[in-house]
Amino acid sequence: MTRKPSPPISTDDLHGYADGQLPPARAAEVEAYIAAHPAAARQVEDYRAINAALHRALDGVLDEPIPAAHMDVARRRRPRPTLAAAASVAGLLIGLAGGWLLNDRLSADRPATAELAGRAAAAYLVYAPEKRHPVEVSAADSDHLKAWLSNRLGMTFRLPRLSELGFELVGGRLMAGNDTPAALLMYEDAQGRRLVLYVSKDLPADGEHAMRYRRDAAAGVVYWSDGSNGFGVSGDFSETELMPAARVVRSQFSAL
Amino acid sequence: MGSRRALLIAEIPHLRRYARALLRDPDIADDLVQNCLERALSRFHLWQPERRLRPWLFTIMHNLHVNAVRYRVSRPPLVELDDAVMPAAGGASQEDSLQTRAVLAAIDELPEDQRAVVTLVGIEELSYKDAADVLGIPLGTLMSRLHRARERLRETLGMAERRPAPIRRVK
Repeated sequence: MTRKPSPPISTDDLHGYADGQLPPARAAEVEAYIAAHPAAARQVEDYRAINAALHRALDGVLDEPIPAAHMDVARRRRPRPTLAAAASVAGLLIGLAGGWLLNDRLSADRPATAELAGRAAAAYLVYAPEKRHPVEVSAADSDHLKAWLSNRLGMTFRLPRLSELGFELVGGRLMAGNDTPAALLMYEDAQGRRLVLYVSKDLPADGEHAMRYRRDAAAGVVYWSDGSNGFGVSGDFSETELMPAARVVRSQFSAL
Repeated sequence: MGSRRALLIAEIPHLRRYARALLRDPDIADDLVQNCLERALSRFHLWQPERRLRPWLFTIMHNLHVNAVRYRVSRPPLVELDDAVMPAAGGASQEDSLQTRAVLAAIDELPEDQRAVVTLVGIEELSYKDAADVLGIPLGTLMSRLHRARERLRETLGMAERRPAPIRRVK
C-alpha cells in the first residue's frame, strides 16, 4: 500500500496523540511510529499518566457543592458592586426604599464619584434639550471626534456603539472637568429621546468603583469609576433602561 | 436569559477546578472564580452563543489571574497539601494518593505559564487552539510550553529515567 509522504513524527504529534487531538489518519501514523520506537512510546504513556494523575488529584472539585457566593452572583441580575463596602450596599438599599432619594452620607458613597454623577446629570440637562447645537462634532465625523477627545483627555477614547439598544451616536463635545478636560457623547433613539455619556479623568485614582444608579427630578445616572477615570451615563430613563447602555460603555472602556 | 444563566452555572465546577490547579489554596481559588463570574456577568451581553462558553470564561479568569499575580507583591504561601487536595473521587488506593501528592507538588514547581498549559490541556481537555486563545499565545508557543512542562514533570516524577519502562496500566 502506498501513501502520500507525510511529515515526520514530531514531539507535537506525540502530545497530540496522548491528548487525543490528532485527526485519525495522523493518529494511525503515530501509532505505527511508537510501535517501533520504545522511547516515544514511553513519552506518550507518561504524558497520559500525567493527565490521569491530574484528573485524580483535581476531579474531586467537580463534585463539591458550588459555593453559595458563586450561585448568588450567577443568578443575580446585575453584578454586585465588587469593591464597594458593604455599608454602601446597605446605603443603596436605604436609598431605594426612600424613593431613589439616595443620600450620599447614608450610602457612604465615594464623594468624588457621586460628584461626577452630578456633573453627568447636569450635562444631560444642559445639552440634551439643544435642538441646533447638541454637539460640537457630529457622529458623521466620528474618526475626528475620537482622535480629538483621545488627545484632549490623554486616553484612548472610545465611541461605544449602542445601536443594539436603539441609540445612535449624535456626536460629542469637549467639557470642562474639575481640573482637566472632560468629554460628552450624546446618543438618541428613534423617538428622539437622548442619553449622554460623560467621561472625566479627574477622580482620585483609588481603584475601581462599581456601577451605581441614582435619580433626581429630571435625570437618572448610572456612574462608576476605574482609577482616575469617571463615567456617568445619564438620561430621563429608569435604572433598567440605563444599565444596559452603561454596561456596554464600561466594557468598551475597560477593554483598554 | 434563563438558559444562559444555566450554562454559566454549569461551568462553575470547571472554573473552580482550574482555579484550584492554578492557586491550590481553595479560598484564594474561589475568590478568583468569584471575580471571574462577576466579570463574566457584566460582559455577558458580549458573549456570542456561537462561541463556546468555557474558553470564553477561562480567558476572563486567566486575565484576572495574571493581573492578580502581577500586582501581588509576593505569591501567597501555598497551603499544605493535606488542606488543598480533594479526596480523590472514588476509593483511591494509598498508592494513588501518594502519586496524587507527588503530581500536585510537581505541578507547583512548574513556572506559572507551564502550569496553566499543562492543566488546560491535561484536565480541562481544551483543544490546543482553544488553550492558546485562552492564554493569548500562538499555537507554537503553547506546544513548546506543553512539551517543556511535561518533560519537566517526567523528570521531577522520576518517569524519564526509568529503564525499562515498568508496566503501568494507562487507560
